[in-house]
Amino acid sequence: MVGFNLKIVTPTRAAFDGVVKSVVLKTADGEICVLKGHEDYVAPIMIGPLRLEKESGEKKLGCAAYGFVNISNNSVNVFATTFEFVEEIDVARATKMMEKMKDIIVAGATGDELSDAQARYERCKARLKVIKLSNKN
Amino acid sequence: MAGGDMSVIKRRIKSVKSTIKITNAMKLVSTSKLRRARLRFEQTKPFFGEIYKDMIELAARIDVHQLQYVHKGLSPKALYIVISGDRGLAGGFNLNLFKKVVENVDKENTIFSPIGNIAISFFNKNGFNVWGGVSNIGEKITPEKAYHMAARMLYNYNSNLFSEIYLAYTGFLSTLSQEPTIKKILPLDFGKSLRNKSGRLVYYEPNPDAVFQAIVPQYFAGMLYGGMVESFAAEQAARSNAMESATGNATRIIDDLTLKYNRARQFAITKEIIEIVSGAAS
Repeated sequence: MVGFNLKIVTPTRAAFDGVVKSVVLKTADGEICVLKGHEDYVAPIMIGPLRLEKESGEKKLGCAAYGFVNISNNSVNVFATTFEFVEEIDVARATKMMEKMKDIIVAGATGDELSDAQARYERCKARLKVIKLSNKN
Repeated sequence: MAGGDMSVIKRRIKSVKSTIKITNAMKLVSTSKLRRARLRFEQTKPFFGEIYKDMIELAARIDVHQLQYVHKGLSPKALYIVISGDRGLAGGFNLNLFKKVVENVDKENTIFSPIGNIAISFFNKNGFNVWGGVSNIGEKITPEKAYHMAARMLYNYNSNLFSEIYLAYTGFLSTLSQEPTIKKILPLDFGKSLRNKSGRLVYYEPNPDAVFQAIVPQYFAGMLYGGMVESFAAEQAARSNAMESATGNATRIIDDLTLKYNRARQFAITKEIIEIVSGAAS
């Protein structure tokens, strides 16, 4: 086996579970690339793109938001608040959502409502960015 | 006399029949809710199971013991988050959980944070220390809401209002069996140590303190969300079962009563015939 096991889970679904050759994640300190035999490692992950390469060589791009990665004994678990692969992102919906959240923030929301709106705004922004990234390639 | 008996039985049959209508309707409602709840539970399961497993493993391997989330704080109190249903008529669903919780706690040193109407009224009525209380949330819970709830509890944990957090919920084993479960959430000290066994060190980036500051709220919120989703599915399953057996019991009662009614009717007719015959004979 040239790869290692990668699991990407969010509270609402298991987004990916399979063997991959590499995965690139955005942690608090920047992007890290995980290959087979990585040391045991734990770090928070930020909103941003996640790239993985399957054993077959197929590459996939996704957008992960807040969570953490736990690498232990050559298996990688990614816990994220949300995660979508590029093909799952609905551009129209993300754009609309971003506008809506912007309105809520501008209108002077407070407390939980504000932090929810901000988090959603950031996530939508990141999704659109990932879409742009995939169009470039 | 016999006529009066007959009308009483008739009335009872009628009332049991209307009970059947209610229990049957409730069964249908919870069965359809169960289908949705179960799907949601299946989707949450990987996250819920995996994050708890990983946290136990991380906690066992951690070699920095001054972290606030790892060692027990000064407060002697513990917080129990008890997730019940919002409605009754679900068999022993709510009571089994309360029984298990009450058996396991020291009443004086425990603060309860009930989730669900039944838990709120149970812990308030029985004189427990109650903090907060949320109701009617199980069906509409989102990870975001769970996150805010967890954040509030963590704030109090960090200000030493209590030094342990437990989650009590009902596990969904299958449609026919649900099990009250208590899981320890914080501190991350599960009494096992793998430190010497594995020998490998974990690299925390940027440092263990920052890592645990960032991941504990996520972990806690995930557990809370998972517990609520699982409890809701278990509640629907329990109610669906309870209502099914209630309908069955009621049907049996009707059969019984119908038999009695027919006997009473027959007895009345026989009696009348005897009266006529003996009247004619005299």
